[in-house]
Formats: sequence, structure tokens, C-alpha cells
Amino acid sequence: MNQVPPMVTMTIDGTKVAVPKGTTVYQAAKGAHIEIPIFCYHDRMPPLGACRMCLVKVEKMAKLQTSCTLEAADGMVVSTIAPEVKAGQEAILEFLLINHPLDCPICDKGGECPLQDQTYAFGPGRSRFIEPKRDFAKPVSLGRVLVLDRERCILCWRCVRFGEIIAGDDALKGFERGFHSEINTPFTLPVESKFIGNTIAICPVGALTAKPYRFAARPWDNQAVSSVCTLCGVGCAVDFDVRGGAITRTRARESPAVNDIWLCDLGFFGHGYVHHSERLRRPLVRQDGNLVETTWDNALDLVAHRLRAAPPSRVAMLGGARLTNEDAYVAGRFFRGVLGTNHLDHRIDTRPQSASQSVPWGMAVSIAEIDQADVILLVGCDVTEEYPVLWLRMKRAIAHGAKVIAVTPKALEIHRFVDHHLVHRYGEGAAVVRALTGSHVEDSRAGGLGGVDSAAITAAAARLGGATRALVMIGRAALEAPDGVEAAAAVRDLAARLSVPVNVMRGKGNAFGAALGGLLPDAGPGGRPLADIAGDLQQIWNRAVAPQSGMTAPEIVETGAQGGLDVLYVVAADPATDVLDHTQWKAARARLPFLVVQDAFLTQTAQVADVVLPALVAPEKDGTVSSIEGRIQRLHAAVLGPGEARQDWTIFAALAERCGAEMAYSGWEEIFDEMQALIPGLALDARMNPMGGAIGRPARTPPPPVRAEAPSADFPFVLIPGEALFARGAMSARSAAIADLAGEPWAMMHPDDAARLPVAEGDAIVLQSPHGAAAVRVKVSTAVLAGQVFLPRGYDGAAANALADAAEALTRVRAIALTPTSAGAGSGEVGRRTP
Amino acid sequence: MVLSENARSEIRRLMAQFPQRQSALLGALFVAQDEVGYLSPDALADVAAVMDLPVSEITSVASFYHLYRFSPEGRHVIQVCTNISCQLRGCGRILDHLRRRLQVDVGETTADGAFTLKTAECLAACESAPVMMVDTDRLGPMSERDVDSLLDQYAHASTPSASRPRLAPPPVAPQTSMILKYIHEPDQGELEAYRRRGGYEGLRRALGMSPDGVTDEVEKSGLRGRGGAGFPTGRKWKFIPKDPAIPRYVVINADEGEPGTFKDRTLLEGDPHRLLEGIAIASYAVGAKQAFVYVRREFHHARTGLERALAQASGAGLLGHNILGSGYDLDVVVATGAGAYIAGEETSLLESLEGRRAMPRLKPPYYPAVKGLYSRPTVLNNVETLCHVAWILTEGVERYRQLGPPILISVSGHIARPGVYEVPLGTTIRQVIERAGGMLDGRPCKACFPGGSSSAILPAAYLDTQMDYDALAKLDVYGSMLGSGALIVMDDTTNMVEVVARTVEFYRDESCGKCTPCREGTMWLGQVLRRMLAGQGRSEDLALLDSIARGMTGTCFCPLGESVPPAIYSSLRFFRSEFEQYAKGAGGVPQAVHA
Ligand SMILES: Cc1cc2nc3c(=O)[nH]c(=O)nc-3n(C[C@H](O)[C@H](O)[C@H](O)COP(=O)(O)O)c2cc1C
Ligand code: SF4
Ligand code: SF4
Ligand code: SF4
Ligand code: FES
Ligand code: FES
Repeated sequence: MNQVPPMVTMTIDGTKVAVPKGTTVYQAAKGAHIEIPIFCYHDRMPPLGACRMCLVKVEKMAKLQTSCTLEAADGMVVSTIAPEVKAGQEAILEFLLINHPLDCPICDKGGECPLQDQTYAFGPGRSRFIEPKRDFAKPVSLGRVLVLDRERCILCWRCVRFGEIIAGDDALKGFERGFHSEINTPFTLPVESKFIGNTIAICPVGALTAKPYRFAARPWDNQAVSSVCTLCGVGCAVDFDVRGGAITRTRARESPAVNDIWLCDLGFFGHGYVHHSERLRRPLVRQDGNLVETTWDNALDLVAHRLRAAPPSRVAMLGGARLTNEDAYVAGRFFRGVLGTNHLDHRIDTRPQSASQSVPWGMAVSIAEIDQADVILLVGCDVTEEYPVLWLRMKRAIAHGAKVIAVTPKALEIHRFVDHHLVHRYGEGAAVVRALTGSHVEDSRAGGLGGVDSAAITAAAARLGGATRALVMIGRAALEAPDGVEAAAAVRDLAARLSVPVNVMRGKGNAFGAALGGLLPDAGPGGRPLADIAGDLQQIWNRAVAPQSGMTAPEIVETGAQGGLDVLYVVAADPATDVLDHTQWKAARARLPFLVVQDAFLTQTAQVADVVLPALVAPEKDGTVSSIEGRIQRLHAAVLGPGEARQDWTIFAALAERCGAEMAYSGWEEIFDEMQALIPGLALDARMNPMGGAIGRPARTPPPPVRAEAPSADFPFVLIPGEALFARGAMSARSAAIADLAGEPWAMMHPDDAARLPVAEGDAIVLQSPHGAAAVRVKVSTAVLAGQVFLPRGYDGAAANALADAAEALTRVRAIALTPTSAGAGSGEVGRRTP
Repeated sequence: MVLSENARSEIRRLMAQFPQRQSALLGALFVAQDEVGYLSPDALADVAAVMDLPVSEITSVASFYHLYRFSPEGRHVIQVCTNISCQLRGCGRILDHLRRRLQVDVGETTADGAFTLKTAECLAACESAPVMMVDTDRLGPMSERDVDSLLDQYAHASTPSASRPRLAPPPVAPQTSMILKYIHEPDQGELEAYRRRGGYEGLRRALGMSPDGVTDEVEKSGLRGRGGAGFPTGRKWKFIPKDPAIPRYVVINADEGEPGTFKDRTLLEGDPHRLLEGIAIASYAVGAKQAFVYVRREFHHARTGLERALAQASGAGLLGHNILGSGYDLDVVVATGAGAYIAGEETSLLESLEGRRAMPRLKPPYYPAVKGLYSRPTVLNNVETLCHVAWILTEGVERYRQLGPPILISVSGHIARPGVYEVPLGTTIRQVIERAGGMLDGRPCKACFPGGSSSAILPAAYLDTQMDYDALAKLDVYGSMLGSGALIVMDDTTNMVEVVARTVEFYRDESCGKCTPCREGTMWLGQVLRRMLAGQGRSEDLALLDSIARGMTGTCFCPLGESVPPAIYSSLRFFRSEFEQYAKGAGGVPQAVHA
């Protein structure tokens, strides 16, 4: 496989250049530091040869050649500077400029525009074009983030090919032909993409610009700070462009092993929350029922006092996925080592006894290895909604011939690329996975196993059987389903049979770092079981740590609701919207004597807290984070935090001092050093193994009996709680562009169900369960089976957890049509995304 | 849902014909357009849903082709050809007359919704110039009187289709020939008659030979592709890899669009079985199990005839399963174009056949013989080429070389008897003009395009040049070539600036828009020429025209863009004074005066 290709030797502008066979002349020249101008060529895509800018002269060839398409050959003699070459390039540039407005001074691309640069370097310098220019309506808006100026477009086709080759979303297309050709969306509708920011980045002119960035800054005003996106678990490398103490835009930073040169739109446009006016600036305490500002000293004294007063077994901590690794570690040290409680859990959005608590979260293989898979099995993993940039890797694998099998309760957005799509009834996926292993489970219910056609299962099983490099992923929708434990076991068995590990696609933000830092009830730093690590902790922390596991997040909430807690400390999490059962959370809050929330915003949880401590967010922090593949990456603070907000670990250090413990650090490096002493292999850019979960821990209480009641006439639909990329809580809701992309809350139902109600695409409905209600707009799609309703969890306005009951395996709902708006009225962004 | 269940099942039927469903897209869009009247957003969404393709993709594809419409049009669509041959024969008057009669401009629909008036590029019927189409009927040569009676008939017919006027196209001049021998027999399209005249004997003979033997025989005949590039056909077939495990395809280029060329249409309409026989022989020779005939959309009559012939031949065991008991199977599928000259270029044709925008592919790696249709080895041949193949296998290579080798020349323009003529390779231009009855009204010849509008314009001094690949290519005129064998002759009344402007505009409107020099250069040239014709010429315009053409020369992605400079260079060289006249800013030489 890894044969070294033979070398060829050629001459470029008199210089001898040796390159591996298969290299293009353009790349060969580039390697020899000879610049050839390009527009359409982009090294992440196969050459196209469209712009004709990269002309060179090759001896023994009659015509000028495009160097981006020409393969270097032995003995080739190339000139990039011959007069014919210069004349050719001048001609091409003149052709490009005849219809270009040359409005550089007001163009966002000005200063970083290849066309502008080429015009200076190669251009004829005057225009012989006296005819009327081609004119298009001035810039058009294609949705919430993208602006298209067709007059500036030089039709290099990069953006179109990105959508076809890299993202597979066909978001921007070419329309018409010849000199009428234009880039657009069909009927200039809002662009449908999760990756459109990349097209802005690779557009060689100012034809595609970012609405959030329009006129915000000139390139030379920006200072780039390298950091990592923490908005999902992928951990894409970014540069934050900073001007005047504020982030003006996020750009991808090249990272071959992770995001290559791409980001998703959440990453591109999701930094708005950092400078949101609602950021918490000063600590708040509850006085006479209201939260009022106070000093850090007051707030910390009060919190320390309550913590000290409570017996350790009645203190619990929830959250952590938005912390750095160091923050999480210090938090863990504070609660375990200083206060003496093991009731710590960052996994607040899991069901009681769900499979999520018994499997280690994270990828067992590296992100880069995705490219090499020959069969990809996605079980309950909605990859574009949950880990978008990983899809770009999968797309690459597909281009190399990989086949995709998806076992999900809702058809994925990438369905065109899924070879075997086994869309099943929610809660019956485990049986489908079992059937894939060949151990067929006879199903008496109508419509085949879980509603999946048995021939489709057989075909998928055969495909899986032929895999030599399978990639197996299990995600939230499987782990949290009523049959999640069984699904996890089935996936584990299947992977074992294929001799590959299971990748547990679970956790947002820095969930992996929270586990690494030790924010789990049964494991300390590095995910090491308490019994195993107790000795080391004793040495470094000077404290004995209780070896018994603490309570899991659902147990903490449940215990709280039963009056079993004195203090609950919530860090960088919003249990009010994230715990499964909102009713139970409310009960817990009501019976909690003291609730501390440490966060950047006055979240729903913070609104009912007794003390609120303002914290920094990732782009304001120095330190490290961990990604879904366990990679440790460095954050550089790009901007200062608002007001008196503090980095989380310093808050815990200050509290420790008030609790009579010495826990001071000079900075993140010192913490990291301490962590290295406890966590074998921890290093910058290293990949840590998946960790966390109840390692070898038998379930303390047997799983509650699953009360899967038969469908009732009153509540005929099964609710599928799911994920939507742009709707993920406090931070996205406060990044204006992302909130716009998320649009209004929606739910998806099958056309037959919609017809029965009757409701049409875009109509408003209320979903009601015996416990609560949520108002949403309907999307009508065959992506879900009849009798099932898909509801994304992240919309504050329609919290899925208001409908659920922690004691019930399935949530059943009914749908009530509100005054129907005309079908499609909610259209535009919301209505059109339906596959 | 705006599409009926019928329409949707028709789309599914089309999809089932192809190894990849997107190949059915062009046909599917016509199904939708015919039912809804135009491609509304809802209709596009329905097609996308039935075919499981992104709406953005199918909308983008649809917008590339000129025969799709995105807003409602009249009950009847009138298309007037305005390309060179029709221009030379007075299409301008026909168009003006229609404008007056219908009270609409080009692109508009009459107030009563009865007619939409449009222009068209060469309809490959230049022998009947000036030509127009009403819906799917082709009519010509048209006079103002014909237009009047036509409109009256439509106006008075309660169901226009019942009494559709038909103007008979003039028959091809009778000739003693090989390929065209039976073209004038009205029953030649019937299997029975075709077989009676020796048809399918070539196929029978081929099936008795080894595939390589067939290829050798075709190679020995010296046959060169008649689509324009003139590549030796036997040699082309030999590029196909021998490994039988790799599926391969034969694709037939029936997209005839080079202005002035109409021999393929003539063969398709007059002798469809000969083409099918040639297809079967070619497919057998390269081991293809499937062949696709990409038929230009405007050839409604030809397509119907071909499909009929296909059904007849399949029914008789001459195509399909176990052909003539030989054990060889071949499935022939008729695919459709949708209005794009560039789709005639071989790699664009493959893109189009895969249901995409007809934009040429990069060679390498996409040489059709290596990575052709669906990235499989593919032989692509022209209609006439395969008709020659059928003849060669029937009559033998010796006779073919003895009597010819023949080529078909489409003769149009200022000629007494326009039509397709079969002549031995190497006949001079002058002789061909004589065969076609000499110049119209006996006027002197001023110039000609010897190989369609993609070739250079030759002045009368070159009339003794042989119509032969090498003789024309060797002339001292850049871009002179035999091409597809379309001889367009122009007499002394011709305004060359007008002709060049129209030529440039054709390439401008047919440019796919992929590469910069063709997309922008054709537009710029067109603007300069129109400005000059409008009396706004400047002294620097001649140099400007030449320099724009130079910027395009050797820099375009595909031959379409490279087809423009020859007309510019040759006309600036041989008819410079006419350009100089316009460069003075005044009007030019007199207009054509033909009836
Ligand atoms: C712009 C352009 C248009 C063409 N149009 C046609 C056409 O309409 N019919 C055709 O047979 N060949 C056409 N050709 C030539 C084809 O690319 C190809 O050479 C030919 O179909 C091969 O068949 P042959 O070898 O039998 O000639 C065209 C080429 C170009 C560059
Ligand atoms: S919009 Fe930009 S990237 Fe897209 S084709 Fe135009 S210039 Fe190229
Ligand atoms: S994939 Fe995740 S980490 Fe990468 S840019 Fe998107 S949200 Fe950020
Ligand atoms: S020369 Fe370029 S723009 Fe013109 S048709 Fe060919 S590829 Fe398209
Ligand atoms: S960069 Fe080579 S053709 Fe565009
Ligand atoms: S049919 Fe009009 S030019 Fe050919």
C-alpha cells in the first residue's frame, strides 16, 4: 500500500525539480517556491482546469498548458515566465476583470483577495473594455449567514465543488450557462448547509461573504489567536480574529488530523455568545427572592460557608462539559479532595440507568482513521447534527468506496450517502442491531423488526460481513433509548465479531475533558477508578478520597427531589433544560436548600439559583481541552472576559482557601503538570483513551422496570428526542447567527400522520404529554416512521424535557394543531430543511 | 405534489433504463414540463423526490439546457432558426413577419396565450432554410406566405394537432451512392424493406467473426469519425481494454448541432435501421452489453422513427437477447438531449448522459475509452460513422475503399439545391457546389465555411481545395478543417461582419461557461461586433477583435472556445475592408438581397 512512488525529474524556469510521479506541474513549482497564479485549483479537490490562470509553457507542447492539471513528467521543461505565458495570463486576467466591479475598497475580501493580488502582479493594468458590464442584482442574501455578490464572482466553481465533493450537500450550484452562468441556490432560497462558512473561506474573491462579518473589519486590523472550537466534541482547530478586544470572526486553522482546513457553521458563526450583552459580569446572590449583584468576596464567603456546613454526602456537583481540562480537574479536586464528596457527574443529560453510564464516552479510533473505513455503521448517531466535521471525513471514506449503514430512529440528512438505511421505531433499534449480527430475533409485531424491512437488514448484514475495516459508532439516540443497554451490548458484540472497537459518540463540548479531569462519580482524573487512584491522590492532594462511588447525575437529581441534598453546585451546565425530566428537576430545586450556579449566562438553572458566579468562556481561557477522540489541544485566550467574570479553576481555588485548604496554582500549566502526574500519557496533542463511565461497576440499583405502555388513543405518538446542530442551548441561542439558523422550534412527523391531523409543513402544533407541552412547527417528512414524532432537544422555547417522565421508558405525546397557518408559511429556513 | 401518478411512474420507467438513475433526469424533466407546462418549483421538487436527488442539483441541471422553461408559455411555441444558413436564406424576414403578425417580441407570448415566439440555433435542417419549429414539428423553407397560412391554420383549428400544417422538406438530391443509396425510399425505415435491401447482413457477418476481426476490418477500411474530429474509428475501438470483466459501453452521438450540419438527422430520419445495425456491430466489436443513443431533443421525428425501428429490430431478434442466435446480448437505450450544442462534445455528452450539466471533462483522466460513461471504458461514435460501419461489414472493406471512401457533405447557404451529398473523400469544394446545382441564382461565390461554423472562413480563391481531412487542415488558413463536413456557401451579397457576429453569438450562447476565455471572450467579441454593426465602431476595434481572439487561442478548456478565433482571424484577413468600413463608425456594406 505504502509504496514510494517513483520520482520524476523536470526543469522549471531553469531549476531542476524532482517530484513523485503523479504530482502536477503546479505542485512541483510550488514545492520549488515558484509561484504560479491560480483561481480554480484548490488542493483539497481534484483539479478542474476551469479558470485557465495557471498557464505555463512546456517544451514540445504546442499550446500553453494549465499547470494545475498537467502531470509532471520526466524531462519536462517548463517555463512560468516566458513571454507567451505572461501574455496568456494577462489575457485571462483581463477576461476575468471585464465583468468584475473592482470595488475593492468596500469589499470584505479587500486585502486578502487573490484576484486583487494577481491584478497587481500579473495584470495588464488598464482596461480596454468599454462595453456595458454584466450586471446582476446587487448582493443577494442567501439565508442567515451568507451573502452572494454575483458581479464579483469569477466562476472558479470552488464553492460548488465544495458542496459536491467535500460536504455532499450540494448547497451552492451553478445555474444557467455561458456568460449567463451564476452561482446561486435554486430560486435564490436560503442556502441549506451546515458547512457554508467553508465556501466563504475558499472563495478567491469577495463574492461569498459572511453576513455576520460584513464590514466588521479589514484583514489587516485583525489579530489571529489560535484556539480550539469547543461547541461540539470534535475539537476543530480555529483561529479567532480579534480586533479591539472582540472576536470579529472564526476561521479554520489547518489541522490535518482533526478538521483538516474545514469547520462547520456552528464553529464559524458560533462565537457571538462571547460578547453577548447578557454575559454575567458580577456575582449574584438571592436577596428577598431576587438575584442581586454582589462582590466576589461576599459570594464566595457565602458559598464556602454553606459548603462547609453541609455533610459531604449531602453535597453534589453537576456539569463540566464547558470547562477546560484544568478547570475540570481543579473542580474534581475541590469536591473530592477538599469537600470529600464523590457525587460528581458531568453527564447530566442521561436517563437513569441509561447505557450512557456504563460505557466509556469517546472514540476508540482516531478521527483521521475515519477516512480509511470500508464500512461505516452508525447506530443512533446523527453525525451531521452532533459531530458535523466528522461527516466530512466520512464523505472522504465514501469517496474511496466506503459503504454506510445507519440504524437510526430518523433518517439522516446524509441519507443519499447511506447505502443501508434502517430507520426503526424508537426503542427498537437494539433488535435491529442484533439482527445485523445474524442472530435473528423473530418479531411478532407488524412491519418487521422495529418497522424495518427484513430484506434491508439482511442486505446490511451481508455488507457488514464483508467489511475489513469497519467503523462502528453508537450515539445518543441509541444509548438513551429505552433499549439502550441492550443496544450497547448488541453493538459491542457486533464490533467484537468485526474485531473493531466501539466508538461511543456521546458528549458535547469538553465532556471528554470533564471525564479526564475526574468529574465522574466513580472515577478520578484520567478516568481511573477511585480504588485504583486513591493512593496517588492521597500523595498529591494530601487527602484521603472515599473509595465508594458517588451518585450519577440522574441519581443526584432524584435524591435532590427527595430532599437528600443540602447543596447542589452546578458548573457550566443547565440542568433545567438538559436533565431528562423537567418535572423532577423542579421538584429537586424546590427541596434544595442551596443551589450554586457557575456559568457565563443567567441560564434557566441560574435564574432559580441562590448564588450565581460569573465565569469565563472558552475563547477567554488559557489551557487545554479534550476532544471526542481524546486529543488534548491548547486553548489560547483570545479576548478578556466581561466585568469580573473569572476562569472556573480560580473560583474553586478561592473556595478551597475559604474551606481551609491549600489549592493554589500559578496558572494552567501548573495544573496540567499535576494532572500529568496522575494521568499516564497526558501530553499536549496526545490522544487519551476513552474513559469514564462505570468501569466495571455493577448497577447499584437494577434498572427500573420499563413501563412501555401500549399506545393509547389519547397519546398516539412516540416521541423521539433528538439533536439539531444549531439548537444546543445557552451559547448557541446567544449567538445571533446560530439562533437564526436554528429558527423556530420544530418537530417532524410522517406525512400520513400529518394528513390525519391534518397539518401541513410549517403549521404550528402543540405536542402534549401527560406531563407537559411544547409548541413547535411541523416538518412533514418520511424520515420518521408513522406514529413517531421527532423533537430536537435544544430549543429553549420547546424543551423536550418538559414532556418526559424519568420513570417512563418512552414518552408518548399527542399533537394538536393550532390555527393552521397556510401550508409552508413557516417555510424559508424552517420549512425547507426537510429531506 | 403536482405530478400525476402517471408522470411519476413514467419517470421511474426512465430511471430503470439506466445503470444510474440520474441518467434519466433530462427525460424526467421533460415529463414534468410536459405535464405542468413549465418547471415550477413544485414540479422540480416532485422530480427530485421521485429520483431521490437534491433539488439544487436538478434545478441547476435544468437551467443549463435551453429547452426547459421556468415560467408558463403559450400553447404553441414557435422557434425560428437564426443560425448562419438560415440567416443567409432570410430568416430575419420570417422573424420580423412573425413579430408583426403576433404582436410580440422574441421571448414573449401573445396576449391570447396561443403562441410564444423564440429563436433557435441551427436545427440541423439547413437544407430547408429558413427553418422554424412549431412545438415538435419542423417546417421549412418558410416564406412570409407560409407563415400566414400556418398561423391561420392554428387559429382556426379547434384541435390544432388534427390539422397541423406540414411543409414537406425538399428531398435529398437523388444520387448513386453507398451510404445514401436508399435514403429517398419512403419505406427504408421499415425493418422489412431494410432487410429486403440487404440490411442486417453486415451484423450477421460480424457475429460470425471474432470481435477483434470486426475491429480490424473497420480499421482497414480507413474510416475516420464523422462527428468532426476525424479520429480513425478502428483505432478508437482498440483503446477499449480487453479485460471482459470491466463493463464497457457504446454511446452514439446523435446530438448533431454544428451549424450547417444535417447529415446525421437525415440518416436518422431516413435510415434508422442502418444506424442500429452499426451500433450492434460496434458494440459486438468492443464487447459492450449496453449502448446509449443520445438524440438531440429537437429531433422529435427522428426519435420516434428510431424508437420504432428499435422495437422492430428487438422483436426480430436483431437486438436484445441472444442476437441472431449468436449468444451475444445488447440492450440499446434512446436518451435525450435538452438543447445544448456543447453536449455534442464527447465528454460533455457523457456528463449529460449521466444527467448533469453538459460541461466537458478533464482529459486525462476522463478519456472516454478509459473513464467514459459511469467512469467505464466507452466508445463514442457519430451517427454517420456507424452507418459507414454497417455498410463496410455488409459490402466488405475492398468495395468500400474502391468506391470511396465516401463522406457525406451537408451543403447549405446560397446554393441552388441544398442537401446532403455523398462524395468521395477528396472532391473539391467547387465540385461539391456544382453537384448541388451551383450557386443560388448563379451569383458568384464569395466565401464558405468548409467544415461548419467551427472552421475558418475560406474566400472563393480556395474553392479548388479538396474536401479531405489533410488537404483542408494543411491550408495556410488557421482553423481550416473538414470537421463534420458542413459546407456553407456565401455569395457576393453576404455581409461578412454580420456572419461573423452571428457565429460568435452562437458560441457565446452555447458556451458552457466553465472556462474563462470562452465564457468572457465570446461575450466581449459579441459586444464589440454588435457595437460595430450598430454604427459605433472605432478604429482600434480591429486590433481589439484580433487581440481578444488571441487571448482565447490555445487557452480554452475545450474545442468549443477554440472554434471562435478561426472565424475572426480569417474574416479579418480576407474581408478586412468590410471591418474597416464599420470601424469608421458608419453603417457597412449592403445587406443580403436574396428572396
Ligand atoms: C463543441 C463540439 C460539438 C460537437 N458536436 C458533435 C455532434 O453534434 N455530433 C457528433 O457526432 N460529434 C460532435 N462533436 C465531436 C465529438 O466530440 C466526438 O469527436 C465524436 O462524436 C466522436 O465520434 P466519431 O469518432 O464517430 O466522429 C463535437 C465536438 C465538439 C468539440
Ligand atoms: S462564488 Fe466565489 S468560490 Fe464560488 S464560483 Fe464564484 S468566485 Fe468561485
Ligand atoms: S464540528 Fe464541532 S468543533 Fe468543529 S467547528 Fe463544528 S462545532 Fe466546532
Ligand atoms: S471552451 Fe470552456 S467555456 Fe467554452 S464550452 Fe469549452 S469548457 Fe465550456
Ligand atoms: S488554477 Fe489551473 S486552471 Fe484554474
Ligand atoms: S437549420 Fe437554420 S442554420 Fe441550420
